[in-house]
Amino acid sequence: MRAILAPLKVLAHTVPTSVGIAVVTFLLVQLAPGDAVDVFAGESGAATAETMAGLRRALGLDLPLLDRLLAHLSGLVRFDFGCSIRYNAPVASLVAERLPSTLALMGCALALALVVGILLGTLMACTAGSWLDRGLSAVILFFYSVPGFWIGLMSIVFFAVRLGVLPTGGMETIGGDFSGPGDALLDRLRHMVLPTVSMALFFIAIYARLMRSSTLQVLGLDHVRVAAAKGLPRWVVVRRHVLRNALLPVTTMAGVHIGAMLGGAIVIETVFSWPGLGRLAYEALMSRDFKILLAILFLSSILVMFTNALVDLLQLWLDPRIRRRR
Amino acid sequence: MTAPSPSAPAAVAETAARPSRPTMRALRALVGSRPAVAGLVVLGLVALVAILAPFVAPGDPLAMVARPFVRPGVSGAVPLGSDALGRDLFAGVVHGARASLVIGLAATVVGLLVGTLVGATAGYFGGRADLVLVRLIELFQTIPNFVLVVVMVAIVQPTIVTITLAIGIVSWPPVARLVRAEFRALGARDFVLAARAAGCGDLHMMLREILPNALPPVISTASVMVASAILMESALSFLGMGDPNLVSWGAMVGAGRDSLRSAWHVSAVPGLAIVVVVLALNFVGEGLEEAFDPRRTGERR
Repeated sequence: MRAILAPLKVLAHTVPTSVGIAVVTFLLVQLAPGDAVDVFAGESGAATAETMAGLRRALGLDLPLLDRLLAHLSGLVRFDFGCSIRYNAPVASLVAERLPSTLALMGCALALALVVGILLGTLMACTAGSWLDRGLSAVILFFYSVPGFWIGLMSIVFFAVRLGVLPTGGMETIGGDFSGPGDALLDRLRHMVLPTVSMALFFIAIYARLMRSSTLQVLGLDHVRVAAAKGLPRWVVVRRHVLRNALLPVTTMAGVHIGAMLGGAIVIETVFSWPGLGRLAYEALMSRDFKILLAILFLSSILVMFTNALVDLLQLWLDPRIRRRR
Repeated sequence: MTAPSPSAPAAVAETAARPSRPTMRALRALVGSRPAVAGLVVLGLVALVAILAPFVAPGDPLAMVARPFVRPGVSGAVPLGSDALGRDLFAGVVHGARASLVIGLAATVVGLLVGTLVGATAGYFGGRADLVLVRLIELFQTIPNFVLVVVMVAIVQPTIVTITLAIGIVSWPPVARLVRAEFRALGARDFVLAARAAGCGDLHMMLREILPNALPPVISTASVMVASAILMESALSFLGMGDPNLVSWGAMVGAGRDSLRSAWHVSAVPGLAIVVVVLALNFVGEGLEEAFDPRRTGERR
């Protein structure tokens, strides 16, 4: 019974959060100066007060606040974010078009950050207090302090302009003449290296720090001492008895990290002209296209929410202690 | 509500002694940490330069004073070089320190105030208030911080006040979580029960009894909060969403982007300023964290 109830609870938890997200986006719409009719009047160049009032009635903008909120909610449920004035296309399709390239970039950056961060963190914990630990700690703190856009620009200067080994930006060589699909893939990968690394540095720092402290905690536990007393080599103890337990705290904040990455994507994609959601957000920002911005805000929040639910479910399955507590 | 009458005097005595001792020990530990002291020195210097900016770099930092794209170290008039419009990069860095520090500090104060208010209310009263406020905290941790800042600032127009408020609004949830946990843990302690038995009101209990004891972990996050606020402000102004009337490091990096191939120093110099300040803040943050949490220092040895 509990095996069914606990996951349901996790899913039920997403309901108030998603309503909250929808309300926040609605409040932001209300804050925006002028409504769709003002924009329309500005675009068409001339409009009388009567036609504007008529348009407002037709679009339901003269309805009471609560009715407009409900209309907003029903739009979000259908993933209907209205039409973009600048692109003259439905916002939903614009966003859907850009989503895959952002997810690809984020996926690579997250994977890189996890692998490197966990390795470095474990290494630092196992050599705690040594010069290696201190040195790595300083490097990690540097990664933690560097603005992503700046390290991105500097890596363009060094790797693309000076050495000329990697492209400065974009997703593929325009008009590139590839002999086969392998070459095209290689070209795509070469374009991904700098944005991925620039995005991952901050998260490498986060995971290394998290992993270092959680590994140190587990290293002091009794079962680890027993494993060492059995005469197991140190790396076997770490791999079999420490790593698993130390990994749990690293996963708990995954949702927050996905959110931070989506924010970072705006900056990184702008630096590298990567045609994803972040770049779309920047373009929308430049043309004050609030509909696109709000759609991106809504979608990225939903993405974080589902990541959180997924992590909760995963932990429920991984750690029997959590299952019992609920 | 049980009144622990026999131990009440002892508990009250404990309250009187509590706030001073750990704080002093923490301060001593902080001064003992070399990176933290180095960070404090750097921050002190930057703050001094920011305050004395009109004297260190007189004149309008946005004025044309030299030929464009002078490299650093070539001209004595513009020691760090000049940008595409012939503006002095040194003056820009000096005056930009003001915007970064003011927004970083003010946004952190906003975040600390809101976070403490929400966390204290939730942790102290518990029950339904706690349930609602925890949901609110979760909601704000679900909406991606930087995306929300960008949208808010874009909608209400970027000025120093709106940028500060926007960054403050996204940075309170971790503080609220921390304060809530402290209030829940401290609420059951003897000295709090003693104060309650002595008939103290809710406000007195929250402000005078619990809050001083809940503050150490909050203080140790403040420095990292300033660092992340400065990073957010610089990213915002890099995207062209900064206060247009202010010199800002992020905006300077953004302006150098167009001449990255020919004159990369225009972006590099203000970016280095960001790195130095944020690194110093994080060093201090690490020192504070270790100073207030003896367990962590224990692990290190």
